[in-house]
Amino acid sequence: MPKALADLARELRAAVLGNEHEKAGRLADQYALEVARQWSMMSKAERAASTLPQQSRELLTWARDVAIMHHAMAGQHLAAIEMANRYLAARANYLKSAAL
Amino acid sequence: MSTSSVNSTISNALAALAPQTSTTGSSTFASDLQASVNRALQIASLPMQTLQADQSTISSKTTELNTLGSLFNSLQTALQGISSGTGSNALQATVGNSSIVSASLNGSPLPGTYSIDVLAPGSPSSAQSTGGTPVADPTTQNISSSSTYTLTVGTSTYNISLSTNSLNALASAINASGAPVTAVVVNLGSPEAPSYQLALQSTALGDVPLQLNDGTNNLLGTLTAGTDGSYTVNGQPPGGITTDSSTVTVAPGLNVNLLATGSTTVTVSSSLGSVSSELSSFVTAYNAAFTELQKNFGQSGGALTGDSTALSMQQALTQMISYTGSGGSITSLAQLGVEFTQQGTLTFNSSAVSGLSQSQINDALSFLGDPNSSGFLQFANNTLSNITDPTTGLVASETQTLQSENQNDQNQINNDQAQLTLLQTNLQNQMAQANALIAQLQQQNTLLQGLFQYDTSNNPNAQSAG
Repeated sequence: MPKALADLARELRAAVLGNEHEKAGRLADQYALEVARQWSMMSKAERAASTLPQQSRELLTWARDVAIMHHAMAGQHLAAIEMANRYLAARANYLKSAAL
Repeated sequence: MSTSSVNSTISNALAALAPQTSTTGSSTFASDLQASVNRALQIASLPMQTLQADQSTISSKTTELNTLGSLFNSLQTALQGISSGTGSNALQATVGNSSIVSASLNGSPLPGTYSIDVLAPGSPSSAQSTGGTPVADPTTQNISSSSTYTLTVGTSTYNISLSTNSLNALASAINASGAPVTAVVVNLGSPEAPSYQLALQSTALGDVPLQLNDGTNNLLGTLTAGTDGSYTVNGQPPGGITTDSSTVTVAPGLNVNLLATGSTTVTVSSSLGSVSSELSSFVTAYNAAFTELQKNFGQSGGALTGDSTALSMQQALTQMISYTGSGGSITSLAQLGVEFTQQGTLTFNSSAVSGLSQSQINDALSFLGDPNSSGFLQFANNTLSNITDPTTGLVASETQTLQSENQNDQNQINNDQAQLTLLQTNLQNQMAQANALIAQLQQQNTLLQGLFQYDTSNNPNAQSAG
């Protein structure tokens, strides 16, 4: 794999793991363009022997799975926070009613 | 959902998210946010019954403090009542023969017996109108048609003006003029043929010239001259003291009204008459405060049970009643009939007060003292003020503490709520961005795999994973 494409893949993994979704989106675009560019420069024989399709498929699928996991965890976190907020509001109301 | 289930869900979520939350950075904000989340989740795990119990406790304590504060205020008011029967208010004047003189106090005369010999009670001067216009109806007729008059009393003159020309109006105007006379309307005729006249009497004893002029004529007839009063105090001076007033001051704070010729005594002495009834009110107020306070001890389970405030109040009551004077024959409330029962309440036996000798009464008054300067009243007043003072008293400070605790909790919760709201917004943004990324990655993967499959159908590496 050309160095530029390897760098993009590494940065994309770091962004996805770091929960930096906007950056990951930009890197994914650059990565896809670079893959397409390199693919277009290969001869038929090179394409037949290339692991680029497998590597790109594995990377993008992995990134998508991690993003889905993050989304799910954020949703779970949000639900817990909303519940906590409701209890806080209830407690605040009780305290206000007790402030005679 | 049960409480344990909620707690379990929250715990799982917190455990799963802890690493993720910490990836937001290492700034102070991030750690504050994490602390808020942890605190909020801890609070969220509290059962609602606990929250209600907290509210109920604060409310009950505040109510009980207010009740006790009111009862202690009543007790302090009763204490002030006792002071109204001490000092100069405890003095009384007793007259040996009330047909000769009457006596009144207007200060603090020294206790003792004063011998008064009235040589002559004296008499005021008087005069009445004669002639003039006959008056059968004093409400509509007058002895003169004039609306202005000049009244002479001794060497002083007074101008009298009438808005209504009637004999009644003239008498009223004279009485309102400030002249030292009393004017009345008298009927010198028969019931069938009334003839009303104006009669004047000087306020002062002795020969006081009186005349009323309507601008043309003198309206009063011959003066009946009065005589001065005369009296001695403890036989002095032998020739008597001449006075033009029937009320004389025989000692500082002791006035005597001369009524008839003769000798009598006036005795000034101390009395606990009003103190006795005020002590009874004090005992009643004490028992009310004590009984309410007892609800917060032992098995009663009052709102202030275990609270140092209740203990301080009880100690104040005990110290107050246990006060011991430093001298004299009366050194305790028990000697005035105020005694403890087995239950800790007080009783009052008024016979203990009524049976005191004059010497003991003086000692009792010394023992009671004054709320501002001495004795039991000062000690008790200070003790109660430590509880009832609206600014620095125990009730006020305890109430303030409860309110402050409550306010601090509210402030902390408000702060936590703000932090959580911010976190909610961040999480919602994060989810939206994750959503967009997921769709984007899916689309790019599809496009790339399509590109690869276009002309590498024989490349096993280009096969879609599905």
